[in-house]
Amino acid sequence: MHWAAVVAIFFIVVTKFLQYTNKYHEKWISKFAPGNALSREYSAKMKERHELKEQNNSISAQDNYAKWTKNNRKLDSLDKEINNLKNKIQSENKAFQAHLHKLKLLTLTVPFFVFKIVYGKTPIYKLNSSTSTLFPTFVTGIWSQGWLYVILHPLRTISQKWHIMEGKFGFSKLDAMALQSVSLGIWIWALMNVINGTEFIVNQLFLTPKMEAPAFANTQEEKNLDCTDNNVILD
Amino acid sequence: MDLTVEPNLHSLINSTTHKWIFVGGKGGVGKTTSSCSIAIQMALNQPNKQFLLISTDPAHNLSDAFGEKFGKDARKVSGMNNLSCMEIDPSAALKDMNDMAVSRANANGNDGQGDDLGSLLQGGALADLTGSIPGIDEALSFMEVMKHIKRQEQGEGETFDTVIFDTAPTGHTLRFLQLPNTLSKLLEKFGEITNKLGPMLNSFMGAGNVDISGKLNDLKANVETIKQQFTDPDLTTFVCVCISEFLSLYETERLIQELISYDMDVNSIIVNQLLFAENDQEHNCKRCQARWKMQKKYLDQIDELYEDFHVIKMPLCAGEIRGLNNLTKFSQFLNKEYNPASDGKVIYELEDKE
Repeated sequence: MHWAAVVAIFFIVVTKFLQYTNKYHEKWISKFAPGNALSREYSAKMKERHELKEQNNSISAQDNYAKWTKNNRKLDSLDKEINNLKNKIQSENKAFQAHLHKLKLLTLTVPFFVFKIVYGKTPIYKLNSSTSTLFPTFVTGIWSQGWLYVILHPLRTISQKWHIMEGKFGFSKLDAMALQSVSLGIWIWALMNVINGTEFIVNQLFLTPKMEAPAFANTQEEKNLDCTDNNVILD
Repeated sequence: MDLTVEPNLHSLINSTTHKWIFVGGKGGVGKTTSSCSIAIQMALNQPNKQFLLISTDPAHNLSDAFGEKFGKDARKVSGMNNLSCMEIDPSAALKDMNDMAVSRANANGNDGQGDDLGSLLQGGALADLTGSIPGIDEALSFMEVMKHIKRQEQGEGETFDTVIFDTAPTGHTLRFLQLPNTLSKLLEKFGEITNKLGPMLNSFMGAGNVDISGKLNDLKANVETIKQQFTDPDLTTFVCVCISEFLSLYETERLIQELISYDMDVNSIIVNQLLFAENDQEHNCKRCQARWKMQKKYLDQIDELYEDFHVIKMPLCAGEIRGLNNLTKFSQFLNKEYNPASDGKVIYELEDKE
C-alpha cells in the first residue's frame, strides 16, 4: 500500500475514534483536568451541605430556633462557596477544553488538512488502460487531479484554444498517463463516503430504537359515502 | 475585660457620631413606638443637638403616635425644642416638584403653550402620573436624605445632627437601602450614554437649557456620599425591632443577613411586647403565663443567637403608648434596661390616656 494511503488511514482512524468516544471524553478529561482538585472540594462541600440540610430538617425550628438558624447561616455560606466553586470549575474546565481543542487542531486537523493539500494529487493506484478508457476524460480527470479539475478543465481548454497563459498556473495540457490514476484526495473522499454510509446504515438498522406504530381508537365504522342511487330527498 | 454586651441602647442614645439611624422590622412589632422612643431619648440626653424623625412608611403614623399632625416639612414636636418630625407625602412632594418645574418653565419665557415639557406638567400631571408608582415613597425618602446632605454641606436652611428613620415593613426598607447601589449603577450607565451623545440630549429638553451632564454628575456625587455614609458604622446603624415569636424572629434574621450583605452596621435588636408574666403578682392569667412561656423560650434562643448584639427587652404595656408623655415614660427602658421587679408599675401608669 502506498505510504500516503497509510498516513491518511491513520488520520481517519484517529478522527473517527475521537468521534465515536465523544461521550467518554468528559470522564477521561476529568481524571487529569486541573479542576480535579476543585471537583473533589466541590463534592465534599455538597456532602457537607446535604448532611447539614438533613440535620436541619430533623430538628424543630420552634423548639431549637438558635441551632436551626445557625445551621441556616452555615447553609447560606456553604451555598455561596459551592456556587463559587462551581463557577471556578466550569471556567477551568472551559479553559482546559479550549486547550485540548487547540491541541487537536494543531496535531490532527491542521496536519491532515495540510497533508491533503500537499499530497492530494499523489496517485494512490493506477488504473489499467482498459479501465481508464471506460469512463469519460472528465471523470478520470477528477479521479486523478481532484475536484479542482472541475474548475481547471474548462479554463485549461480556453487557455489552450486561445493561447492565454499557456503552460502557466497548471494550464498545460495533461498527458494521457496523468489521467490513469486515482489521487489521494479523491481516494480519501471516497473512503469517507463509504464509512459515513456504513455508519448511517448500522445506526438505522441496529442502534436506533424501534418506534411503535401509533394506535388509533377504532370507535366508529367507516361511513360509506359512495352514491348508490339517483334519488334526491328534498326537505 | 467584660465582654458582655449591654441590653440597652445607652451607647447609641448618647452617641455623638451617628447621623443616620434606621428603625425597622416586620409589620406590627412596634417600629413607630421604638423609633419615637429612640428619638425622644436622644433629644433628652443631647439637648444641644437637633434631631429629625422621618417616617418612610407609606402608611405614616408618626402623627398618631405623638397625637399631633406632621407634614412633609419638618416641624418641632410640641414640648420638645430639639426634636422635629416629618411624614413624606409622595403626592404632595410630587406636586411641589411639578409646580417648581412649571414656574421654572414660565420664568424661561415659555407660557405653557406648545409641545414643551412644561405644557405636559401643567395641572399637576406629573404628580398624578407618578404618585402611585410602586417604590415612589422610597425614592422620595431618598431624595429627602440627599437634600438633607446637600443642605449640611452648603450650610443652608435648618440642619439636623441626627436623622432617625421610622421605616416601612422589611421589604420596602430593603428596597430603600438598595437605592444607593441601584442609582449608582444606573447613573454610571446613563453617564456613559450622556458622554457619547453629549449636547444632543440637551436639545431634547426644549427651551429648558438644562445641563443634563452636570446634573447627573451632581446626583452621582450625592449618591456616592450617601453610599459611603450608610456603610460607615460610626455614622449609620440599623435597629431591628421584633417580637418574641417565630415568624418575627425569622424575618429579623433575614433582615439582619440582608443588611450585613449591604455592609450596613446592625448591632441592636429591640424585642417588644414581652409579658414578663412571672413577675405579675396581681394579674396572673393562665393565657399570659402560657404566652410568656413561649416568649421566654424564644428569648433564650435570641440571647444565644445574637450574643454580640444589644438585645433590649421591652414590656407589653397595659395601654397604648401614644402622646409625648407616654412615649417618654416608655422610652426610658431603652436607655436603662427594664427590670420587671422594680419597673413593673410603670406599664400600668401608661394606661392614663392623654
